[in-house]
Amino acid sequence: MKQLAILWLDTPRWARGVFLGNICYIVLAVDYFTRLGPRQYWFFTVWSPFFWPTMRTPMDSWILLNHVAWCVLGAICVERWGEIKGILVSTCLIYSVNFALFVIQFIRFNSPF
Amino acid sequence: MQASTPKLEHKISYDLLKLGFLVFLVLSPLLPYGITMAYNSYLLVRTPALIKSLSVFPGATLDKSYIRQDGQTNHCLELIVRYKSKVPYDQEKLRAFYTSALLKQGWHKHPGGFFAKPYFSKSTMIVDISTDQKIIWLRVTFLAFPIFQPGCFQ
Repeated sequence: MKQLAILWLDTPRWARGVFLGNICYIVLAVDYFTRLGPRQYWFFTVWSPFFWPTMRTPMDSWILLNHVAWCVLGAICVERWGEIKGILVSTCLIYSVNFALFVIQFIRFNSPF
Repeated sequence: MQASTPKLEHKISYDLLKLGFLVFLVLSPLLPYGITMAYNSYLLVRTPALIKSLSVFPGATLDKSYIRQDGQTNHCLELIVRYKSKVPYDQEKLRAFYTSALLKQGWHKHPGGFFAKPYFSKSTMIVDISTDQKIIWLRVTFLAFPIFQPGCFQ
């Protein structure tokens, strides 16, 4: 464990950012999995940013783009601000963009559903 | 000189480990896709056993079968089968037979099936039937590994 910590701290920060961005994505991508069956986990539905702009129709390319963006932003932000602040900033950016799209959709269709 | 050699070896192995770890971190975003591909291949490997169990519907012959990826979402695997019978089919009986055959095969136990189990009856679709009801096309839909994918039953 100690060795892993040493190894972690010894790798470039941007690579750690890619990994952390990927983990964030995977955790929230579970949302789509849980939406398949009767076990609807409301906390994923609420907190998964991909869910908002895709309420009307599933947009696979958008989800894929989120994955790429989260990893790239993770790399840039963690390199710039370190793990904690960097991943928080990249997460905020991802949420902001998705939320903006949700609002646009809401205005355009008068309902997100 | 002798004392420095183990140190150098240790450094090289650590550098290699570091490089390997770096490669792992950078390529980690590909993992969900790799797992998905592997899992779907596993489903395909299990398909012949499933088809075999479906080929014993009384009074009917399994005429044709193939598996394909769902064209609309690409997130589901569809097993398409064609039955031929000498007598008209009882559609509900056939559907029930399919569902029980799927459960016997343990398809509901795969990770997607954990969520998909209640959908089995819905996922067995009669897609086409001849006017004399002697030739029938059925489609069974399975979840592909869904770690990053939306569902196919929406």
